[in-house]
Amino acid sequence: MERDKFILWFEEGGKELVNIIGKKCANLCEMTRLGLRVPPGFAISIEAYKKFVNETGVWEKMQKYVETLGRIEEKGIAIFEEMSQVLRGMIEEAEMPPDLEGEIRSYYEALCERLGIPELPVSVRSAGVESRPGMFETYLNVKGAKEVIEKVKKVWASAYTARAIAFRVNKGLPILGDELGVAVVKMVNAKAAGVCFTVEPIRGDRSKLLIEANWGLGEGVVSGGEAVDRFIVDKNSLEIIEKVPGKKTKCVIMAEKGAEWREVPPEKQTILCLTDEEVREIARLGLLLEDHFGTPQDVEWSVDLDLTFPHNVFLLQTRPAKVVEKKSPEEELARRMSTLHREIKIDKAKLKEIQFKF
Amino acid sequence: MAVREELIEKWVKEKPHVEEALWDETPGYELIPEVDLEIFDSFFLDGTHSCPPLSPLGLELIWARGCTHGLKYVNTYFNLPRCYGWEGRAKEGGIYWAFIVERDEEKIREREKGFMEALMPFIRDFDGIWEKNKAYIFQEQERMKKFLPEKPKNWDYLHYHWELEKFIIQTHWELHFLGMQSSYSGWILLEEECKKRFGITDKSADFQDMLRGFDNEVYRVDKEMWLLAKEAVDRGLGSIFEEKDPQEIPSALEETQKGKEWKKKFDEFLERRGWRTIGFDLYDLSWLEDPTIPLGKIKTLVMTGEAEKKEFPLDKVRSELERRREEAVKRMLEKVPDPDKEWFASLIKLAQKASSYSEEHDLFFEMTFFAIAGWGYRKIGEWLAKNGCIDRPDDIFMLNGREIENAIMCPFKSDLRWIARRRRARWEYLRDRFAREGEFRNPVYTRRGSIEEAVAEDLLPSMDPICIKIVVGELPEVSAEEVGADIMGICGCPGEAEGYARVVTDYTQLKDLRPGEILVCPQTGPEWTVAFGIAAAVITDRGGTLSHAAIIGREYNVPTVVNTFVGTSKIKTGQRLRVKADIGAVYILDK
Repeated sequence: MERDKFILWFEEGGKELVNIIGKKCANLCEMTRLGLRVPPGFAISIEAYKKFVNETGVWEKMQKYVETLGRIEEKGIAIFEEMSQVLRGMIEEAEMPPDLEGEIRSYYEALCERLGIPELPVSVRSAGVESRPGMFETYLNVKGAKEVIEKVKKVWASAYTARAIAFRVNKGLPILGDELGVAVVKMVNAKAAGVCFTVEPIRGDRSKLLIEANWGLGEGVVSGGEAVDRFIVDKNSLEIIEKVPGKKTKCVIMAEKGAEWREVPPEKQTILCLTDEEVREIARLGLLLEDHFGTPQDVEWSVDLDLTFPHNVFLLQTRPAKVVEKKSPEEELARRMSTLHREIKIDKAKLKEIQFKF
Repeated sequence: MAVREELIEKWVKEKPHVEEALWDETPGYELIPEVDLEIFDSFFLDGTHSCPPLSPLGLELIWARGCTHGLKYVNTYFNLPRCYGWEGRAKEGGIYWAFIVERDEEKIREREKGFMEALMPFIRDFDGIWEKNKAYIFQEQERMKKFLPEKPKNWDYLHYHWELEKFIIQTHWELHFLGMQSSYSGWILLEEECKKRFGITDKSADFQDMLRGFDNEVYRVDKEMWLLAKEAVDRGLGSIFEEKDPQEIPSALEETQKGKEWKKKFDEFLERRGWRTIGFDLYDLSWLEDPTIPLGKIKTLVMTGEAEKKEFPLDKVRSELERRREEAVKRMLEKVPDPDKEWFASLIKLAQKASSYSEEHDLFFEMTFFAIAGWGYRKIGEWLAKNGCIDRPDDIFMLNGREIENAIMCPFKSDLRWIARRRRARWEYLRDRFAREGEFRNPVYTRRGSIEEAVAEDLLPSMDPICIKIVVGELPEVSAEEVGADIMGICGCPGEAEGYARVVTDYTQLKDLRPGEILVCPQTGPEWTVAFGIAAAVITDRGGTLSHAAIIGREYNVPTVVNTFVGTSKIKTGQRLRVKADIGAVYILDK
């Protein structure tokens, strides 16, 4: 990466840049470099964040604030909420340095121009050096340079959610940590979206992969609250072994600005949201990623509403899949037998009625 | 010598002060509440294993030293998360237990890993380990039977004594508990999972059906005996068994050719199967030494009409139970979600081992080991008695291990009659009193406010499967009022029955039991098994779901209610009873 440059296109990077632009950005770059269908976009480096906090004096303010707090560990849970409000406020209220603002603006406008869409809807996503799914914020359907710049600050600030602070305190990491890269990605107007685990995650079966899908944007699956369609695919033959439609009552749809949960029309609730060929294409791409990265992957994908197959299947993100290391049934049984002694409840109330004779 | 003579005289002439304890039967293991409770808070009498009061040597070697070691060994072996073992203390011919409990949750969590690792081989191949251990114990048992040379020297007796101590303390108790702790842990987890997932406990029919219908060595012995009884009847010898007492049967048999032939077969049977005792003491004679025990059982089979049945009762029910078992397991696994199915199936398999091991192990362990050791100590006793050290060979059971050790080399200079007589007098006093009054000993010594508190604070926190499933037993989940019952227990084997009560407190009275009657007894052991082919239902005062009565009840498919506490004291022979075993209810129809 050139000096004095804080942004690069996905085409310009690769997975080796993980420490510079964050894991999500590096993976998007890597997938783009592999020629996979990734929505176009650019990555804002962690250095940009550092420049922002240093030049605006936010860094110094945050340090001073934390020093006044003393030992956090002894203060109870409410302190995290309070810290979060103060620290996020400091970041969000500061002005973006003009040269940085200019650079983001120019990349965003270049992207609009490339695709021929003014005010191109994009998502603004966090990219930490370590993957911590769901911990930092993502903003969907952001339009216009000004909004993008605001949301970049908000993503940076999301390193200071109460949950993120608590996580670092409990792990003994620095409180002022988690400097984030940011991915700015063209929104896919999704018919359906979801995740693909290239290993069956519950039993750790490596011969099968699992796809979970819902109507609308991927957030309707990732949040884990809704019933989703499940597909099990055999990795050798790409044959679909199991198709289980879930009762999908809600999904996430792009609104005028941002995205929101909507009711799924009754007639669409119990039918599968993907065709077989789409399932197989997602599976094929998932395997390609697993092959390339050398470990099972947890892939986010979406299927565009307007484009035709196979041009409609996009990859949004990939990361190593967290799977339970496959335990044999015997090991699983032994594990349960050993924890039973801790977990079992002894009903002392019942003892009153007993006459013990031994 | 005068003092000694005087003491001997004193025990013979003056009636000894048998009510006073002298604190010297089991040195190091005597329960001294003011001292021991400082460390353990509560000691619980083991009513399953020390009724009636045990002889001094049995109490010391088997229970105080042996069983205590076995439980410390097995809990350390498995790293049982909450319990390091049990501490045994002896008092009034009984063994009292305290539980060495870990209460620090952090340490408990740490111990889990070791527990898991130690369990793995047993989960993978319980039968394989059991077969290997069985081969080893058979070999050791044979060695102990033949240990003494034809003309033993004094040191041979001493070496034999040491070997017998190791035989009981190490070989017997360590291996005994390995199989027990591993399979019972499986049973407890299965019950817990079934409770959590489907709301059923191990007292329910759905649960119990999964775990019965297995053949084992105990039943094969019972069948051999049944065949002998049948043959006696077929050969026209039935009247001898009906009319004569067991003591007179052998000589009556010698009078006819057919009787002689039968007796020959019976002797062969004894050769193979006679190394077993009836109790938990070394003092008891084995079948081989006292054939009136098995002859009495054959007499019961003849008198109750069992011997005239066409088929051995267990054979008849087993195929049906096997079928039911397969179905029950299938039904259960269908309810279990896919990702859990495989380990759940392994769990059921392991819990099934608890069922069969619980029954079969008695035969391979307690009954055989104690028979051989008792027989061996009688040999040593003969040596001591011959040299005037004690009055008679079985006085050796009045001594403890160190006294025996000290006396063997020069028994002619080691007059222990004053000790043996005193202890015998006291032991006989305890046994007589027990026979007269029932349990008179303190059930719990504790510093806690009540027995309930002692149980809650010092026993249950051990979470030790052996303690919970055998020694304590469980409580009825439904109260008697709720179902209008007179007596409540827990379900040992599901089913319903109606019939007249037969209260039996000693297994030798089983000959009075008639088909269709409901057997009411304190608790059962292997000598009681014959009753399950006769009775319409069985009710016991004590026992958990893995107690003898519950297991045999299930294998014979006889409705069984255990742990009623008051069955034998509330029910009178001849009363009409209805048993609803599924809910553990007993109704007295003609109060």
